[in-house]
Amino acid sequence: MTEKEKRLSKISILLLSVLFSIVLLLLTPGELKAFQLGDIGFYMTNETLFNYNRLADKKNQFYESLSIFSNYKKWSMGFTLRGNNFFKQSPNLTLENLEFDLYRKFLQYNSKHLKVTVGDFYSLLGRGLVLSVLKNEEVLRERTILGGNIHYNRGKIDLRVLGGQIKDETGLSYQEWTVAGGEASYEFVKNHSMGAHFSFIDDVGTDTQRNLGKRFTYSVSLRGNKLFKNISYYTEFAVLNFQDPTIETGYGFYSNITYSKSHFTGFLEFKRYKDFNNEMNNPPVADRIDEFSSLNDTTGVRLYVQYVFFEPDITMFFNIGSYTEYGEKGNHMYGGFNIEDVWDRLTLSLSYGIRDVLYPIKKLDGHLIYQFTDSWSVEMSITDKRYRDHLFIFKELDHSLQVSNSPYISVFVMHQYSHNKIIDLNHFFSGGIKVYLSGGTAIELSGGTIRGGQVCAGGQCFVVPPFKGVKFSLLQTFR
Amino acid sequence: MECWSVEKLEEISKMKKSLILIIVLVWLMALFFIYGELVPDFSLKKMDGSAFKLSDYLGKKIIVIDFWATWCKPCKKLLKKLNEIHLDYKDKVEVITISTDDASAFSKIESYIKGKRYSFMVLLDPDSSVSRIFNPSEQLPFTLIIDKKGNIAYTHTGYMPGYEKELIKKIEKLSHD
Repeated sequence: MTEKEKRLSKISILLLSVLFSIVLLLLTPGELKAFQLGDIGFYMTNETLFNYNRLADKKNQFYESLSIFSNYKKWSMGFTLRGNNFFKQSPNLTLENLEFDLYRKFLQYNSKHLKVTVGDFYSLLGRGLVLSVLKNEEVLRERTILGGNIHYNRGKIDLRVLGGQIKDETGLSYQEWTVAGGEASYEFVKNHSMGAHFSFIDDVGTDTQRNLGKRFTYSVSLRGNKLFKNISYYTEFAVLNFQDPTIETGYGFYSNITYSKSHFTGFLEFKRYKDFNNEMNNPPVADRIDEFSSLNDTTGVRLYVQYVFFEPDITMFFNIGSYTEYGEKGNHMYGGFNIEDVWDRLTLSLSYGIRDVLYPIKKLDGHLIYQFTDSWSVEMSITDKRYRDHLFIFKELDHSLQVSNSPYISVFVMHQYSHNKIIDLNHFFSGGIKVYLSGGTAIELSGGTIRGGQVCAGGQCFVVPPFKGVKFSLLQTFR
Repeated sequence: MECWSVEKLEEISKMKKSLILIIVLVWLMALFFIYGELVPDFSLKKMDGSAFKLSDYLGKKIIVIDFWATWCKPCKKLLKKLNEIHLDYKDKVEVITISTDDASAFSKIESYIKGKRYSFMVLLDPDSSVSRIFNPSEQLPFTLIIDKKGNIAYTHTGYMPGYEKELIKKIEKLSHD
């Protein structure tokens, strides 16, 4: 097949799919309906995305995903059919050919006390100290276990066992690790439970850059709520053992206590991690998404306090944390307020935070919403973020403005300013329109330049590449 | 007569597979136009640790389900409005919110809900077992309304100020049907 023929075939497939989505949209101006056959029910979601990305090696990018779920009495099954020539994590790389795959496929039996899943599933044991295989939408990461999961719950006892192979959304072979795990918890007094958790990970035989070999992580936990009516708590202690005797045994300790009464909420947290990275664990982090906590050598203590006035609706909060990472000591402080529904029209929030430990960050967030009428509103937001990554200091300033007519349409414009020594481009402008049709369809058309950069959330960090071009997306829910 | 190389035949085979998949996809989509509605049942744990099963609540009241996360700002704005709906329509509507945060955020969920004195039901879906069925695109917030017959009567992704009025309109309409 010549290059020209190849290109024509690819274009015809793309055009066919886009045409299909448009025809579908035109044919269904009202509510989208799913299918029911006797006791068998279906639920379906379709997502189509087309990018014209001028920064990609090949500019036309396509992503089509159709998710179907079906249930019959205690049985259910689901899968997602996907066709794409780029991955959302790396939009500057377009694949040579369109690739089709079936992912998030599962079959499940669900009775009152027992749930058995075969196929793709997410899993988190305890609070993530021993195993955490989850999607992370903020950093565009999708990971599942392909295998089996049995969950039994009866009265005071909760048991779970699982096993399978790690699957990365990009299908990279080095992520195909063998994994097994389990946990058991027992409610020894009403509202108070103790638990035991374990995971086994084996990356031997896979193309891993840093082969840690077989490792076993196990932990014990204690959790409870309504202690003296207003206190809840959680504590977990874990040990990480490697089969390789040259790798040191690690440990992790996480504990928190929450007190909530009337207008006041207080939250105290302590954590200590030493050589505790099993590559598949993700213990709790603070609630500022910028925080990145190393599992190799970190000690942290944090206090968060919140006071709420209910009439008018004002929330004030303050957080102070002290951390030691790789022997370097520093603080993480933030505070702010949130005023909602002033005269039923105005919402205003402002917060400022400083983190001066290993990756220092200063961040100011401001947000204002004014509702002119019940449906028309204007939203403005500003973010000023300065951070250091190794030798480089970055300054990022974002402004955005959105005018909405709820729940049908919103128009937005955004200006991003970036100053660093790596790239020349400083100003990025983008805008778009979102339309929601009454039958469960959402259409978005946007374009311009969008700054890339580091995004950290849920203990994971990801560098988002910049974008320049046009995006079209269509989301449909059939019910 | 032209002789095709192995590479070319493989290429054609790949293209054929792609086209077959698209045809199957189109066929499936067409199939789904047939009229009908049914809500899939599910079970999750509540924030206090007790068990929840959707079918136990079906047919009694109109159910509003909202998927949210602690890191999602528009979700928090919608939660405030949902609490107002929960208080104003207690007899007619069951408001159920489902947090899609992972278990490491349980303490944040609890302190946020308690701190704001929200009284609607909060369910935890740390491994997205329910979220991936109803909201596979994972855009938040995602709201759906289930009528008294157990049918999904409305779905919506996102939050704009004033959206709660649309929700109330739908609830009023469904309660009179």
